[in-house]
Amino acid sequence: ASSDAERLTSLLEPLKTYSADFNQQVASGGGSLQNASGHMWLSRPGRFNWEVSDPYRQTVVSDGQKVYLYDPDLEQVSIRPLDQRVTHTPALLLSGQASELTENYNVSRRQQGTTEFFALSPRSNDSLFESLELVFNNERLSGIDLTDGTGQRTEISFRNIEVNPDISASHFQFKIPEGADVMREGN
Amino acid sequence: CATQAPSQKQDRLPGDWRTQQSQLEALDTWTAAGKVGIRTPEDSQSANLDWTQRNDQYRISVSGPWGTGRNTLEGNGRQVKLTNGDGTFQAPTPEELMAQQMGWSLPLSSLVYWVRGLPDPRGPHRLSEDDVGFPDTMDQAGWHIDYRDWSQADGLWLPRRIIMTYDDIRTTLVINRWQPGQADLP
Repeated sequence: ASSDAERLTSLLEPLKTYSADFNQQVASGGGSLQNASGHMWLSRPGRFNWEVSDPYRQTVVSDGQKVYLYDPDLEQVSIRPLDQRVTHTPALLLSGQASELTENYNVSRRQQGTTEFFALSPRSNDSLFESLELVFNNERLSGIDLTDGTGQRTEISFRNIEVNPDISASHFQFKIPEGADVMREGN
Repeated sequence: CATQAPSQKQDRLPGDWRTQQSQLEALDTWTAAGKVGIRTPEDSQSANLDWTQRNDQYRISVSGPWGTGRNTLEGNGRQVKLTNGDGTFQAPTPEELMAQQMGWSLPLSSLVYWVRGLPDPRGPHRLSEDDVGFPDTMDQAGWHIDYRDWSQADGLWLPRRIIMTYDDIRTTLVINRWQPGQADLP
C-alpha cells in the first residue's frame, strides 16, 4: 500500500551512509549451503562496498557508475554498468533512491513489536529474486531476507551498525589488482 | 637468497601422494564449497560453487553474490535435472543441460576424478608430477589441467585450485572447503 511505501521511504531517506558487519546465510531445500560474513559500506545514492571475508573472499563495489565484482580466489574482476537490472541486488537496492525502490517494487509492511518488515516484490519479473524483505529494528535497518525463483532463501543480518558515519570515498573506488583477469560486460 | 615463505600448514611431503592415492581413489563421498570461473573469448562468469557427491549421486549448485541467480544440478548416473529461477529442466547428460541453461559446461563425468587429482580411468591421459610427487599437470580428452594449490582435509591432501583449459576455454576451480566423507543428499 502507498502508506507502507511512504513509511519505507521515510526510514530510508535519512539514511545517507551506512556501515555494518553482515552475516549471510543461504538456506535451500538441502539444508543451509553457505554461510558467509563480512562488512558492507553504503553511500546513497548508488555507491556501496559489499565485502565477504569468511569463509571465502569476494567483493562487490559500486562507485555510482560501474559495479565491480572481484573474486580473489579466481583472480577475476567483472565490471558492469550500474543499470536498472543490477538494482535488483540487495546492496544496490539500498543505495538507490527511495523513489526508485517504490517505483520498482510493491511494498507491504508488517510490524512485530519494534521490528518493521517491508516485503518488496518486483513489479517486473526479470528480477534476480522473487521477494525481498527489509527489516528495520527501532527504525534502523537490521536485516535483509531474499527469496529467489527456486525458493532459495538468503538471510542477511547486520551488526555493529553505524548510521550516517562519514565514509571515505576510497571505499567506493575499486582498484583493479595486479594480474587479475578483467572482464567488462555491456558498457 | 630467496627464503622459503614460512607456511603455517604442514607442507606436502614426497611420498604423501603415493600413500594417499588409494584413499583418494576410494573417496566417493564429499561436500566441497568454493568458486568456479569460466573464461571464453565471448563470455566470462564467476560463481560460488557447492558440490555434494555420494557414489554417482550429486548436487552441484552455482550462484552469484547473495545466493542470487542460482542453478542447481541434481543427478545420478542415469538422469539429471537442473533447477533455476525459470523452472526445472532435464536433458540426457549434465553437460548438455549446463550448456543449455547456463551457457557453459564442464565434463562432469571426468571432473569427478580430476577434482581429486586423479585421471578419468575410462580414457588415456598424460600426467606430470611436481617436485614432491603430486600431480602437477594432466592432459586428458583435450583438457589441460593444472593443479596450482592443495589443501589438507581430515588428513587428505586435496586440490584447492585447478586451472583447466580446452582450446580457448579457461576454467578456474577453487575449493575453499573440502569435507571428505560427508554428503547431505536425499
